[in-house]
Amino acid sequence: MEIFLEAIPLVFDPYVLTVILLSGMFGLFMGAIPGLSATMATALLVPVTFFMPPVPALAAVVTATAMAIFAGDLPGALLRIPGTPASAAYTDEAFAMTRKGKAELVLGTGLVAAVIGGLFGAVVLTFTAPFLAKFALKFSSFEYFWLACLGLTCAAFISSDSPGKGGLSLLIGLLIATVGLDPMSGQPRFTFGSVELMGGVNFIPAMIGMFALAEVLRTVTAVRPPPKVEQSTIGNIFAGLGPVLLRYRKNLFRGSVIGVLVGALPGAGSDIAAWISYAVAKKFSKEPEKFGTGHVEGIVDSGASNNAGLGGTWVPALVFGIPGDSITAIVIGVLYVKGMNPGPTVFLDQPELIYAVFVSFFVANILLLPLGYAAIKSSKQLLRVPRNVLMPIILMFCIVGTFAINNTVFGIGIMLALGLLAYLMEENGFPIAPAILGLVLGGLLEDSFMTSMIKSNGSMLAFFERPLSAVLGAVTILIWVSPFIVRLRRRGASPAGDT
Amino acid sequence: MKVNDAISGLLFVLLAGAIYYVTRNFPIMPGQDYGAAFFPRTIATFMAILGALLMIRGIREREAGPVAEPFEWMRSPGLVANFLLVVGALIFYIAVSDRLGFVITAFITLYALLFWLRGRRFWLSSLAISVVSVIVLQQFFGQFLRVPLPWGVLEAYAW
Repeated sequence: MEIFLEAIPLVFDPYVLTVILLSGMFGLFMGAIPGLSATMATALLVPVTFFMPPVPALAAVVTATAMAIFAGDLPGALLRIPGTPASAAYTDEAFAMTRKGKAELVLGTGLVAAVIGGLFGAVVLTFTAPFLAKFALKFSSFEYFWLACLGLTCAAFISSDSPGKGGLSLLIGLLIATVGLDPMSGQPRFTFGSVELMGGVNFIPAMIGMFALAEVLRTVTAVRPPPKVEQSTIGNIFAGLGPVLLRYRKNLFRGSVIGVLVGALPGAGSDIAAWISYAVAKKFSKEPEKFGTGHVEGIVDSGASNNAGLGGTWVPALVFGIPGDSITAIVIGVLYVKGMNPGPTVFLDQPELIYAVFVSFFVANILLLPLGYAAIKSSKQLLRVPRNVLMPIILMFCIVGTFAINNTVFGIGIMLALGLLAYLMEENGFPIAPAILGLVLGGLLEDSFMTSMIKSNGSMLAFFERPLSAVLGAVTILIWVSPFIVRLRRRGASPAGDT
Repeated sequence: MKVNDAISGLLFVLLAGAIYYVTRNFPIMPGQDYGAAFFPRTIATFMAILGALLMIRGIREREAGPVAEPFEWMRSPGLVANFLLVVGALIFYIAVSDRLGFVITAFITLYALLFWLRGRRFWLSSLAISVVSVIVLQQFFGQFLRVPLPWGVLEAYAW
């Protein structure tokens, strides 16, 4: 607790607060514009945070993502297009409310639910992460190997309807991570004689390409033009909000809890938290028949859930260095750049920096109230920003941001190549998030495997000798084989084969 | 190009084979069975398995759709041009930015994209947006963050 108090002045510093304010506005803008997601906001923010000290850098990412996840509700309610995937679960519901003339209520509910959910996530993060870190100090390279496997496996399984495609995407990421000099033997791998590739593929150009450039390409080739805003003015968003929140206070709590838990699962982030919360709200509602017709109940649940999920995703990221979703995968990369190797030791070595992250979670979510209010009020203008102006500017930003990392145009080539790859993959049903997780975790996975092998003189059984590592290993392998078991059992039930 | 899963699966199997081929001469660590090739080959093995499974699924579902079909936007010459222009802009920037410098290259890239995407009617506002954006980017990254953006032919006029 003392460290928490010590960390407060680190955040309440004019420079850091300015960074928070600016990144908050940036996040709202990115989240509100369909096609520009919270992940893309983070990807574009990273080259700028590259030049900052750790505290403002991490505070910027925390704030921008919290704002972007909320702002995704704006186009969802007004245009029926989710601004970020995290709002997709309740976009139809929100738009139905706008159709009924309740745009103020749905946006107000979304905002307050987001603030409450976000704060809940911040509280859980602050109290559980240091506790888990103490436990994680017992881990050796064997446990880390399994943890990395587990994180990657969940990512592949959760992010796609087809675990096979998620797995292949993951393998592409891992393969890209092997490019460069092998850390153990110094053998160049897949460099094809290029000196620039010997240092490996830097993850910043890679993620700018995969998340930002791919999205630019998708936008400029959109076959249908974006729809226009229906409602002209937004009135008082707080009118009639009190009774709604009071009536659904249990939903607020339930949504927040589900959000944090789902967020903390490796591989699942805010978008999945919102889907699950919406489904749970419908299942336990007294009036489930109203869902889908413009009923506010599910929005309370899932609106709180997606922002609470953000806090949850940081728990495994900070404690184990295993990202919960694509945003924290980027964060892990940022932590490494800042010399704060994520994992339990960072809680011992630089606790004030970690606690500063917690403090900025609180600041960001409180700031969400006024900034979110302003964004709702100016949503009409915000949603009218022409994409044909934005896309070239974002492209230019991608170029400069990539160049800023290594100061060579080679990085821009990497960005272009991986952007095209990500575009092709996504259009063919391959999710992108596992590839980024693979790229970020590939090094850790190989290092912990090789270190363990040296320790055990090459005996694979060593991975199951320590009790903790045996449990983690068994869980991982169980998840791997579960699709086959499910299929076999299904086949037993219906001899015809495919259901 | 949107392709049947059998084709994407096949590509992954081929990629796995290529990884095996490229890593054939990687040295192993003294006293160990594992070397630089171990991790890439493990990836390749998983890739081959998952790729083969994807092929089987694709072949089973071959009736569901065509083997390969172009993306919807490929039927519209305007959208194809948009796509090519974005990719071309990046290649152009990579090729000439060192020589011409950031300010000129970025301006040409940005103005070409804006002019094409927004239409001739907005030539003046596109011009203004390009000039302002380039100056803001140069000031923010070049001056404030001290990124050594190349000046190229404008070296003598660097500010």
